[in-house]
This record gives sequence, structure tokens and C-alpha cells, in this order.
Amino acid sequence: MPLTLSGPGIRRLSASGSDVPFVVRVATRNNDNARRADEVLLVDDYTAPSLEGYRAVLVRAPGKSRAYPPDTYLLDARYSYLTDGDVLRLDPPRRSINVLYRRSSRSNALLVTERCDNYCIMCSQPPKDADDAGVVDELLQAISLMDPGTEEIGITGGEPSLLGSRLIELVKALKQSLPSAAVHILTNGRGFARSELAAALGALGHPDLMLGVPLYSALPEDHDYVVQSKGAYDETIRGVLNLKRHRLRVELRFVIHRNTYAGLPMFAEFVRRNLLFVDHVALMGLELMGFARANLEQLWIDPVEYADELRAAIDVLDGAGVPCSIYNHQLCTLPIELHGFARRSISDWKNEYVAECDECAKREACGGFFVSSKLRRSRSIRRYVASVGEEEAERG
Amino acid sequence: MSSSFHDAVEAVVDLRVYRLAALKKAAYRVAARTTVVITVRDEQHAVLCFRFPHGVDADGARERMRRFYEELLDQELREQVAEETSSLRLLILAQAFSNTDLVRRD
Amino acid sequence: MALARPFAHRSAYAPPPGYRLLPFRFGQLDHARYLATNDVGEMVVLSRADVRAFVERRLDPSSSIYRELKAKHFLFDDDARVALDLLAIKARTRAEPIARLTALHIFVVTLRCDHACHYCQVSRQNEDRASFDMSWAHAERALQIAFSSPNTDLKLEFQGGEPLLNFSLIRRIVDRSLELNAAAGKNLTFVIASNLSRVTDEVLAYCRDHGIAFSTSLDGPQDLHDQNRPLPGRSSHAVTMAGIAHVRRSLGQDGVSALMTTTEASLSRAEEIVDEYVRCGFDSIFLRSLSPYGFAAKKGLLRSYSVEDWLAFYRRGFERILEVNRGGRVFREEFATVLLQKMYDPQGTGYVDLQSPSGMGIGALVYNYDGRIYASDEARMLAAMGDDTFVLGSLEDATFRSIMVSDQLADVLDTTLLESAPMCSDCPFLPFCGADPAFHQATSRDLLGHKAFSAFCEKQMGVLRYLIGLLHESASDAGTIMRGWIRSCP
Repeated sequence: MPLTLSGPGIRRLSASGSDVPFVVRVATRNNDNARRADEVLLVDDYTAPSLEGYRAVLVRAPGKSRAYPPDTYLLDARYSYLTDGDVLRLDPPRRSINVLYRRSSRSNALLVTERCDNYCIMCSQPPKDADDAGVVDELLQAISLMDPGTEEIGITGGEPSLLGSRLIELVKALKQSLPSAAVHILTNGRGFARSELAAALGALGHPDLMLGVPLYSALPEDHDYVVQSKGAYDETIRGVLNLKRHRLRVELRFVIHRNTYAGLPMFAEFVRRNLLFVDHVALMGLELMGFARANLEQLWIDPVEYADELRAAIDVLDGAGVPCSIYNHQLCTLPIELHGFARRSISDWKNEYVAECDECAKREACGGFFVSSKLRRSRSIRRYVASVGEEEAERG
Repeated sequence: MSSSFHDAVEAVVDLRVYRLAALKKAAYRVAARTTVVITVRDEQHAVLCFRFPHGVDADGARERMRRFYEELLDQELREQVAEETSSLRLLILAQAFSNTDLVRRD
Repeated sequence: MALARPFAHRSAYAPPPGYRLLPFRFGQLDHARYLATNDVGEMVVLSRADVRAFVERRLDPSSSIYRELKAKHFLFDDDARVALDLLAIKARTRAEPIARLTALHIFVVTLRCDHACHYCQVSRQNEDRASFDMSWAHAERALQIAFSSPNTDLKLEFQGGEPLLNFSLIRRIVDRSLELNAAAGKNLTFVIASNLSRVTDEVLAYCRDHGIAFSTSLDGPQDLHDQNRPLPGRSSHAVTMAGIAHVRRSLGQDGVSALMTTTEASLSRAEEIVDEYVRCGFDSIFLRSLSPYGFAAKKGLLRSYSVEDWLAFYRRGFERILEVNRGGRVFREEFATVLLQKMYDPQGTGYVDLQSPSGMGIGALVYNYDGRIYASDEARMLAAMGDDTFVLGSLEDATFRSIMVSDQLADVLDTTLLESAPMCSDCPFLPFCGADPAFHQATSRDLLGHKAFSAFCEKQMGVLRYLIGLLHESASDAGTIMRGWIRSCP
């Protein structure tokens, strides 16, 4: 179900309030929690003046009262999904809200920087050269507010390895505050070409850490073109080697589009020969956001057109015993023998289904669409009809 | 009626074009079909003396000599490749066998 | 949306002019094509003109041959010097298994036998001479040596004569090895190479309880098998069939595997031999080549047919095997599987008889009934012909260490490193090949032989040309079938 996670969303109702951003956890009812100083009370309308001690108050609808405590804000309806345990960054002067963490979600990710040393032609989160020195501190604070039972969380950007030792600090905080959480870092790996960073990360001994590293070809000229940076291929592979030297788990991610699909079989062979020790390979469909949207004509290709290349690549990887998956592809766009490799990979907050999916027999198994896929869809989108045999199996 | 080609055939090779090592290796490879004896006449020339097994006729002899020259061209190319790559091979093997921290698949 | 900076065209990332060659070997594959390989077994099939263009730096970076050569590490440039690191890792991975040392330990528990096979490679004695049995004292010393090998895998294979004629010793050896393994913790497997004429329920019960499998001989259909392996008053084929069934009832379908021996009579019957294996429920066959040892050499059988005849036999058998696979049954050719592992598996293959340096001693050790230690099975056959080149010591006084550091073994290993052998050192088939010092010693009194005259080399190149040709025939499904074989291999 698609959600908005950030943007304009708050309007101050109280006479006074903070003129700097702050990080808080959502609470929806009064409690004796000593953490009120770090929480924002979320209520339908503000009637009772006696709820003291909260850092801020969010109301869904303005009430009759005029006596709002400081830092009382009206919450935009787009954020009505917020609930206990969610963690927010509120920026009152800009009237914006940023949902950093939803307790009920399996798709939480910390955006640690918007800077990046790559510039991928299909980047869904185009880099910005913003000064983000304060971001890590805010995230460290947010981590301390998250549910200790959190099962998985991501670190993304921009390029997280640009943070250097602050990245180590973040992962250490996750290890301490969210001990059950599997951590997935999306990185181009280049920062790990220096062995010190890989060594520091390995030394943390995080119990469940995986680094997802994009690699778009067996050849440097192809990869460097896609990421628009000469020398990126060399550094990325060196980074992968260093990460493995320090016993960290690495996943390779290959985004399939018009500029990369032809190299899929050669890529798979290259991985089999040279990077057989990686822990997973994900072959991914395009998300039509950011630069991908801007470069749509150059990048878009109907998945049915690369079925042969995809099949060949999976055959090589699977045959070599490399765990592999297909992400972001609807089952009806894939040859049936590849369905077992498809995963429900799209983050909940940008995930949707279409009319054909309503009666589709494979809906439960299928990951559906990106919201942004409205722009371009495969001509093979259709519902699967349960065959007689399948129906009988269900009855039995 | 074909008769055995008993004669020895001589040819002169320019050592500025074909390395002696290439000549020797080519001769070694074709040894089962042709015996090639190499004599170095001077800095620039080597003399090749071809002999053939019993029962090989003139056509057969010509074919075997052709095969020798084909092999010689390949050997010359191999010498060039070796010249350019042998130090790299040493570098790669040295790194391979000095590396104590292996990249392992868990 | 305004872009922070515009995207550069693909040409901005084109490879720099000029490239550097990485070490590789090349040679003729067939009348039209050449083969190039590197040290770690990657291969490219190309024209000779392309080889020259490649070496002379005339390849166009946008050409598919340039791209293939680059992806497979035959060339590199300054944009990707990481190629050197990757090659080093691959070289290390490929060489690593050598350092694990000897996994295969063969115990010749007796020389007595009840069969009289024409091609028997070991002089066999008739049944009633007990002085041809291995002593327990020797067996125990052999076990000490075996367990001193650092390899975590240990395979004990029992041979003869007919080993079941000395089953009581086998039992003692297995019991003792399990005791030793309680502390050693190795991955221990047992095989008995037997003609199955002596298999009883009691023997099978013990084998089932101790995880012992069988290996037997099956040369082909009944008339061929019986012709090779005469048994007075009986059909040895019938005995083998009954034995296989008997073993399977106790140990399951995989409780027994089969090996064939190729004789002149086999050469025209490749398809029938394959069919016989399929019929008997096996999932593979090793189409073996001619052996120069034992009675075969004495009777001059080696000279009665040429390598070309055998290669034709191999190709026909292989074609039949491909047909069987097309019919839906996974059935492997074992020799091809070994070669395919060398081509596709990062660690190559553990097959002892095709290694560089040779697998003698470091891959296998043979403990003979008379106390002598041989470097391989073939070494024992050679000794039976009077050649002691590959005797590594005696069970009276040898230790694993003394064998491994002996001058004898060092000489063999030193000489059989193909990378420094004439002809082999620049042969494109080198990564897929290995040394066979026993063969060359038997046929030319030299560990390496002169490869231009070597039937072994002719055979190797014949099979490799054939298989590599098949792998590169895009219209054929042979490549898919073959790659499926190594996929299903443990």
C-alpha cells in the first residue's frame, strides 16, 4: 500500500514551538513513560490540557481549544497511518515531516546521506551535494527510540561508505540498540576499496549484516558508463574483495534495463568465475523514479524482451550454487521456470497491485508493482487463471 | 606409383624473423611426422634439414613441411606472447601463493 | 527536473587505447578454429586471424571478441587492474586442493583371485596360496600412514586379486579405522573393488552397517564381458549381474558402481556397452582408454589398435550417452565429467590420474599385500612388469612424512609439472590435462615422454578437441547436457 514518508505535513497550531528540527517517537495514548521527553503525542483532537511532558503534540484535526501547549502541530491526512512506536523527524520552520521508522514495517531504511560518488543513469534517489553533517546524529538518536525487537533495517543513501567512521558508529548503534535486527547496507562498495573501512566493519562482529553492492557488467567500460564514473568498476570489485576478506556478507545487485540486459549472461559467467564467494545475487527490475524517469526512453525495456538473457544468467548462477533472486518483476512478465526465483521485493510503502491482479491465481506469490511503474508497464501483464489441477489441490 | 621420399630437404630461415627457440619448439612438435635438424650458420641464418619417415611420398613431404612452417608461425607468436606476459604470470602467481588471508565462501 | 550535471556519453568511458596481454596459451582446435586458454582454465574459441590481431593490439574494443577476451582475463587495461587480483585468487583456489594431500589409500589385501581376466594388470595367483595375503601388522602400519595425511577426506579402497577372499582383514581394517577416526574426525569412506562372486549376506550386512560401497567390473553385454573375463564353467557376466542385484538389495541402488575395461573387442560396440550400463541401472560410465600394463602389454594388445580407433569408439559411446540424456535420463560420462570439472570448477578436479604435478603419492598411495608402498594403482601394475620406478617405500619402516619428503617422490613431482614440460608448457589444453608418468614410463621409459610420440597425449587432445567442439556448437544441446553433469556432481 503506497505511503508518503516525507514532505510537507505539519502546521503549527500552538503559539510557540521549536525553530530547529527534532527527532521524536510517536505515542498515541497517555502513559507514565519516562521517555515522554522524546515522544510526540498523537491525538485525534486536542481537548485535554493536562497531558504534560511530551516533546510535542500532533493532532489529526484542530479542536476547539485555543490553549495548545508549545510544539502542537496539525498533522496532514497523508500521515494518518502513523502509530505507536514510529519515529519521526519534525522540521517546524519548513513545516515538513520525515518518517524515519515505522514499527510495523519490514522495509525501514535509514537514509544516511544524499551524497554519492557514483551518478547512475537510472538512479532512483539522485544524489545531492547537501551538507548532511547533522544527519548521522539525528539517526543515532532515532535508533535509540526504535523498538528493540526490530527484525530488519536498511542503511541507504546516496553512498553510505562516504560516511567513513560514522558509518561504523551507526552499525555499532544498531547492533547495541536493535540486537535482533538484520542490517542491510546498500553501497557501491568503492569506499571499501580502502581496507581500513572493511576491517573496521568486520571488527564490529555484527551478527546479521549484509552489504548490497551494485555491479552492472563483467566489463569496466560498461559498468563505469552506467554509474557515470571512470574507475568505479575497479574500486567496486576491490571493495567486494576487501569485504569478503573480513568475512562480511556481500550481495551483488544488477539492475536490468536497456543498457545492461545484453550483458546479463556474461555478467553471470563473470560472477561464477571470479566472485563465486558472494552470498547472493539479485537481478532487479527498474524503479521509474529519479533519473530513471528522466531517462525513461533510453532505459525502459519490456522484461519479455530479455527473457532469454535472464534465463541464461539464472541458469549459470544457480548451476554454480550461487543463491540468486529476481527482484521487482511481476510473475506474468517472467518465464514460468523463473518464478521460483522471483521475490516480493518492493518496499511496502511504494508497492501496489493493478486491476488484473484482483483475480490472479498467483497474486499471493507475486511482488506486484512499484507505484512509479504507472509510467511504463510490460505488455504481458495479465492474470493467471488457476488450472483444474490447482483448484483440486486447494480443495484437498 | 608413388615412391618414398628418401631425400633430405634443406631450407634456410632468417633468424631475425624467427627466433631459434621458436624453431626448436616447432621441430619438437612435428617430430613424429618429420625430423627437422637445425644448424645455425651465422647470426642471421639457420639451416633446416627435413627428413621424412619411410613410405612418405613427395606430396606427403611437402604437406609435412607446410605443417612445420605453420607451427613455426604459431611458435613465433607464442614467443612474443611469452615475452610480454611472463613477468605478469610471475606477479600473479607470487600474489596467489603469498596471500594468507583468503577470500572464502562461507 | 534539473540535473546536477549532465550524463556523459558511453564513449567517455571507452577503454584507453592499447591494452595489455595477460598470460595465455593458444593452439589449433580444429581445421577452422583456434583455442586460447589461461592458467585458470578459462577458454575462448577464435580464428587464427583473431589470435594475431589480439596479440598485435589490433582488436576493436567494441568487438565481441575483445569483450570476451577482456571478461575472461586474457587482456586488461588501466581501468581494471583488479583483474590481476582476481587472477591471483583464481590461481590460488585452483592450486589449493593439492596441499590437502593424500585422500585415496588403496589396500591390496590379497593377490589371490578366482577369475582369469585376459587383461589383468596384476599377476594373479590361484586361490589357495595364503602367502599372498596382507598381514595385519602391515595393515595397521598402513592405517597409521593414511591417518597421518592432513586431508579431511579419507577414502580407503580395498583391491586385490579378489579382496573378498580376505574379507576378515578388510573387517579388521575398517573396525580399526573407525576407532582411529573417533579422534581424527575425518570424512571417511570405504569401497571394495570386487568381482562380486564372493558376496554373501554376512558380508553385505557388515558393509551396510559400516557404510562400505562396492565397485565392480562390467565390460559390456554378456558375450563381450565373458570373452574378456572367462570363468571356468560359468558366465562371469551372470555372476556380476547376480552380484549387483544382491548388493543392491542390501545397500541400495547406489551401493555398487561399475568400471569398464576397453579391449579390442570393445571398440566396435560402444553403443551396446553404454546400453548395458543404462540397462543395469547405473547413472554413469567411464569410457576408459587402453592400458599399457600387465598381460595386455605382454600379449601385445596395445599395438593391435590405434588411438584413432579408440577415439572413434569414444565419440560413438558419447553420442549414445547424449541420446540417453535427451530421452530424459541423467547419465554421465565420467572421463568427460573430470575434464568438465577442470574447465568449470574453480577447484578443478580431485581425479588423481590427471593432475599437474601428477597425483602420485600426493593424491593416492597403494599399500601392497607384500608390504611395498606404491605411488599409484598404475605404479603397482608397472612393478608387476618389473619396473620399480614408483615404489615409494616399505610398510616396514615408512611414515607418511618420510614418503612425502622422499627424493623419489620429489623427482616424480618435479618432472611432472606440465607448466615446465616441453610441448605441454605452451599447449592450450594444459589446464584440462594432467601427467601420466606411469604410462610414459611403461611406453617410453621416461616420466614425461616425448609428447609428439605419446599415445596418451594423442588421446587427451582427441577427447578435448571433441568435447570443446561440442560445447561451442551453439545449435546443439550437448553443452547444456554436459554442464548439467557437473551441476549434479557433489
